[in-house]
Amino acid sequence: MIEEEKIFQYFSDINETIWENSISKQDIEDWIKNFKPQKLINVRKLALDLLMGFIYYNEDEIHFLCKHAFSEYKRQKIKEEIKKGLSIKDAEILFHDSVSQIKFIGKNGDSSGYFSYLFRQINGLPLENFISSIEEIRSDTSTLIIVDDFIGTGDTVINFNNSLEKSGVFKKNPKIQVYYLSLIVTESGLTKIQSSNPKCKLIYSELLSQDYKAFSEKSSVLPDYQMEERKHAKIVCKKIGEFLEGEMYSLGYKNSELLIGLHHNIPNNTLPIIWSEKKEWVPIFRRKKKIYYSVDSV
Amino acid sequence: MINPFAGFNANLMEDDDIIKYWITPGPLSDLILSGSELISSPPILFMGGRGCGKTMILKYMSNEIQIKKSGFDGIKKDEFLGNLHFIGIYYRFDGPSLSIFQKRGISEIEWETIFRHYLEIVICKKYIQMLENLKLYDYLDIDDTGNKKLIRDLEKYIFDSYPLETENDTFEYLIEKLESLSKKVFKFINNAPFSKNPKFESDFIFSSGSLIFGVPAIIENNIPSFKQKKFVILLDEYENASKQQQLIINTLIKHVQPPVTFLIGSRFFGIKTFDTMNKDEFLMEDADYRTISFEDVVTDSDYLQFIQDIANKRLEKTEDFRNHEIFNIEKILGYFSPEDEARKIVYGKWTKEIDRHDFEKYKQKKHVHKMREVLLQKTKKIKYENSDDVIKNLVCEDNPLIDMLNLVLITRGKYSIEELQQVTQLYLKNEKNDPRYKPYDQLYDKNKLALIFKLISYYPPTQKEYGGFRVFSMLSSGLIRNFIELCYQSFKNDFFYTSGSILQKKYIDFEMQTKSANIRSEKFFKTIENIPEYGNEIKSLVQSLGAIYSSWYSDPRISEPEITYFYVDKTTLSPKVKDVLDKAVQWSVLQQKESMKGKTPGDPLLDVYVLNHILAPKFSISYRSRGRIPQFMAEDLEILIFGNNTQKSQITTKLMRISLDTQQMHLF
Repeated sequence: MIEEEKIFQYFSDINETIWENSISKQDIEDWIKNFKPQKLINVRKLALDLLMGFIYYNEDEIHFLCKHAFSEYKRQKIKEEIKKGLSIKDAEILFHDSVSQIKFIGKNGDSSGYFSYLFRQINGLPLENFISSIEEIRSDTSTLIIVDDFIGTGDTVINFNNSLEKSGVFKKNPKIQVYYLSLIVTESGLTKIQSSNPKCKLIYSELLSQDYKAFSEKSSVLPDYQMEERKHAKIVCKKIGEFLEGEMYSLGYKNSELLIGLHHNIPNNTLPIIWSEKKEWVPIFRRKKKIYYSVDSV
Repeated sequence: MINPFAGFNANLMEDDDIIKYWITPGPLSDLILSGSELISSPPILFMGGRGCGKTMILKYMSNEIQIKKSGFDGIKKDEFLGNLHFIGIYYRFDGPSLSIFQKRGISEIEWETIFRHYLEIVICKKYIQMLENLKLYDYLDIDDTGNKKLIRDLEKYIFDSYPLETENDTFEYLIEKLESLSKKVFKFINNAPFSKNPKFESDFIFSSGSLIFGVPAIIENNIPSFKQKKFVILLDEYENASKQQQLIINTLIKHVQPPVTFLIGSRFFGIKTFDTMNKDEFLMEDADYRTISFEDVVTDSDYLQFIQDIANKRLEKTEDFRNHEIFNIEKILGYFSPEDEARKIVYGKWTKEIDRHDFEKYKQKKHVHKMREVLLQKTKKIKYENSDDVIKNLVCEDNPLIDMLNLVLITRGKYSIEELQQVTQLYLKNEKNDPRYKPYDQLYDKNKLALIFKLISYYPPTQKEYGGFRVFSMLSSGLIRNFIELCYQSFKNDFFYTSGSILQKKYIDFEMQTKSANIRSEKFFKTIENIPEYGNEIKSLVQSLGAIYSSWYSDPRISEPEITYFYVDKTTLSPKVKDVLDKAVQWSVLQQKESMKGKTPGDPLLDVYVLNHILAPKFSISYRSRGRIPQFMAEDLEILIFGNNTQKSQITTKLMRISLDTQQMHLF
């Protein structure tokens, strides 16, 4: 019990520093009550361990990542110009002059609105640079940047790319450069996008390695679990996940096995035991602002 | 929900937060607000423990905060200048940036020259930034021509030249020039270790005091409202300056030139030397400087009011609490009496009065069992069969502390059992006219807290409660930061463990406060090892002290209650032990109190060291100091600090109360 007290003290610390004071001990207890006792595994301990491995990006961190992603884009563009022979100063001037020719577009659906707004605000970009549909791309648009908060399996990017091809944008504007700019991307998502389209320019702030998969061999989420224990843990979570959200989302969208949360949403790549509200399941992280959306399924 | 107590280190606080949370400590208001003490006296050495609020005070006195605050309050130029008593120039001795002035393989004289030059640049830059800041807020009472003349005079004085172009007639231009000079210093320092014969080259090398005393004179001559105003250089964290650097600054203090004066903030034992660069001179107290100690000036009652005001202001400034009209920290933390706590220990719940008196049930309580055991041992007249009748007269179901006092008195053997029964009964019946009432009452009152510790020992695993406003104030040991941290932790725990029930209940449970006090105590203890130089030695000493002190709480006679300090003749200590104790005081792990007289007349005064009361929960000891344990010998301390584990354990055992009892038993 002393051990558990320490865990709760840890939660109390991160609740203030990271979780934005959004969780109480009672919320955690209510969430744990969802789990039915199991023969092969202590579910209370498993739930607490999974919560310890949950990575939450709070508002400050999201703001930082927004800034960082755009700076990374700027850095790459300036580097390209320097390679062409421009001085640093001239490359910077050229970049600033070219910003008006860039169009930013959110990913899809209603949810993109909030993130696009946030991205624009944080980076001090003009409203005119943001469009809401592919049809708004003009022939003089030099660059199209698709902004996204999270790329999990990579399906969104591939599907968006296909939509762009079909829309005739490249015929209308053959010189247009397309970038995908995401705050967080998984290693598997990145590999999939690059193998599907090697020319795809993807810029991101943070890359999540395979270690972030909750039940993977090198899992950093359950580092002290033996392989057998991890297997049992996976079975328990899969069973619950399937019951709650069906096969496709049983361990997060297409078995993503992630435990990630963002200030403004919880990606569905995250295990549904965290976020599902179906069948009287009490989630630990609720979907705020009604902007929860499917990240990968277009 | 935002924790009103987040942000307790003034070094990390934004200017806006300093203004927002500022409370003037009553006894220091003359110094801080009107600066009258600075005007009429020599430079002031402002001493205080770590976290007592020195930085907050010095920062508040800086021109940056004063100008910003007046700007926020919409104060106009005339009013601002009319109320201007002094101009505060804040500079913090930041450890890492100062340490680079040492050990780079360059002669001492060269480093001294470079440091002096650097200090002149830094303070001069602060003067010009102050002017720029005043101009920005329209608080400068000179017109454009006057402004230009001031800049030109400054340029002429500092750089011995006039700006070549009129567009350079700005304060920014002067700041940039000074910045480029300070960059040169850093460039040289960083490159010195890699150069064969490093030579410092600069267009100017400023001599000591040339700008620090010279520039204010120029400003005073150019700005009418600055005439007769003091420029107070607020040097913070002086303990971070090396001995050599302090020599340089001490020389400036010794030869201070009006309108400049110094207010130097330092921890205790932070002054490494009182010498100056001139071998025949040193700083003499009262003649060259005056000392103000935060702890001496802010008395206990002032302190209580001060922390209450600070906490209440923080609550008022936090939306959730303001909206719920919760801004009285004394009410939030509440108060419980030792009697309340005693009932909690015995009955397992907080209660002002017990539901039903039931002696048959009460006599089963562990401490009553103990009383019976002692009674039967002490007197043959009492047999087990008639012991109930005696016990009935010695216990009070409403207040188990009476039982405990009687248990102690039986052990001490001062009263006969019959007499003790009579005194107890007349005390409980409130017969104040009886001459036996007062001594018993005094005994009870004095030992209440010590009796709690005794009572707890019969009810494991129950632990001492450390909650309530007054207890938090005692635990904070006169250091404001400790108090704010205790509040911070309590609010944080309330948010997490009770889903922020404070907003509805308007108070925080004592258990939650105790939990928080335990966490802060443990955190304080853990940080001890990070103290530079002697961290591990101090931690080891604290651990031994904790063990020694807590052993005294198990004394059945409570002969020396509430031990939280030791005393030693400092003149007998080795220099290394002295250093460790000084360092422990500097970091407020130990707090030095007024020296005690020795046992016999003519004995040297003994130095008293109290363990910071924030550590009380860690060792389950009191947050007050009472009683007196035997004097620590120099060799004991030497071993407690530098000995190996076996030696330490031997000395710790020797100094523990339990071992003393055992020795006495052997003697008789």
